[in-house]
Amino acid sequence: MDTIRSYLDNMFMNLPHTEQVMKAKNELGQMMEDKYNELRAEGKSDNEAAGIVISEFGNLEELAESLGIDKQVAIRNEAASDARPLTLQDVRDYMNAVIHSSVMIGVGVMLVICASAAYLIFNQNERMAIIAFFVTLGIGVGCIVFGGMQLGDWGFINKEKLQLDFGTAEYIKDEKHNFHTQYAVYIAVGVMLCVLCCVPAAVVEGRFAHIAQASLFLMVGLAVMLFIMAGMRQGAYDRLLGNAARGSEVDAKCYTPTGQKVLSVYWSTITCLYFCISFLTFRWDISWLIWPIAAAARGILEIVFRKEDSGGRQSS
Amino acid sequence: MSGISSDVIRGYNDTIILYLLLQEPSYGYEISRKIRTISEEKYIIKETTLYSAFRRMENNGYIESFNQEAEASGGKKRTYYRITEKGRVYYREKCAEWNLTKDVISRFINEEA
Repeated sequence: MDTIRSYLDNMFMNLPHTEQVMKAKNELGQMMEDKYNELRAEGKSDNEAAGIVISEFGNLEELAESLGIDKQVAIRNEAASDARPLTLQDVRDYMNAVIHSSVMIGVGVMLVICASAAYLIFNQNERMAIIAFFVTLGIGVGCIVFGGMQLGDWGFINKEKLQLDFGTAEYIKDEKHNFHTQYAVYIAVGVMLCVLCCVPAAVVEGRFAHIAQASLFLMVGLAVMLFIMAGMRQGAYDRLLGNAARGSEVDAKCYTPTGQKVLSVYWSTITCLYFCISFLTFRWDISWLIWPIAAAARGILEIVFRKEDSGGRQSS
Repeated sequence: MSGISSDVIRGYNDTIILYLLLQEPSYGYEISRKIRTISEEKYIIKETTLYSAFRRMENNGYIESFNQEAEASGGKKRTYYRITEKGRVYYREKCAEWNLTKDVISRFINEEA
């Protein structure tokens, strides 16, 4: 049944969401579903039934005459040339780049957060501690920059219209589905680390107290790393699918113009603030709290800046 | 002997559908299934062909659509079609046209050639 749904979605992908077209899609979907159910009841396998239904569907050009969408079908063929086609190999390459990049950026951010841990571990010797702090920070920033560069060639994925053929879209959906469990584990472990991060510092006293304090940063760092790895990969799947289904400007359309400006500079501003506050006060043990607060604030801002009509389908 | 040519049958899809609607109001898949059984699987109408015929005939006022829950398959809503008076007139015209066509063409058919 899913095969039929995606087939139909794919057929109607580039048509405007007018009432006429949606009506046609619904009714055709209903006919296909009825036929599929009957074939299944006759004992055909899922694949056989879907195959028969799809082979007997017909073609959109035939509908165009009666729906007044012949122009659209023509435009669709033109749009096919201005939308960037992505092959299965492109998608695999892109996902590999995203995975590599997410690991690099994740490790980088973790090291940046752990720089304070390095400082604490070596705090018997002031000079050593400062060196450890900056070395860790430096490697972390390096990783982030390097990780970001890995996606340099793929910037168009966020900006341009993409065209996926049917098999490729199915491949992405499968991959996304397979990743789901891993995603849930990453997020769950990350949240657990966040919840438990204060425990060592609270329990351990005496000689190893500074190590326990350092472990707090390590745990938060690991958690953030997991969030980044899970989020970037999940986001990439959604973007590939979403972009192909709805055309470009997926994100931009959801927010008001002011919102877009604020949100685009949000994380760089927070990073800046983090370092300013931390270096001025030298309270690295508390200043990291800016991250969870910032994440929560971001969530609120995204809701505030959301366009009211973005829930409804836009047709042009 | 290949299957039925879609060029030839195109002009008579409307007639086939109207014939079925003369018996009782019906919906997409039921009509498609009846066409298959009555033609003994010799003609299987494509979904897009059927849908465009519905729209064309509705615009011409030969049929009317209404929503109703189908008796079979758990009472899901279907778009049903019923034939109008204009549709009946059109159907009779098409029948006459076919008889004429059949009469003319059969004069040129030589089974032994």
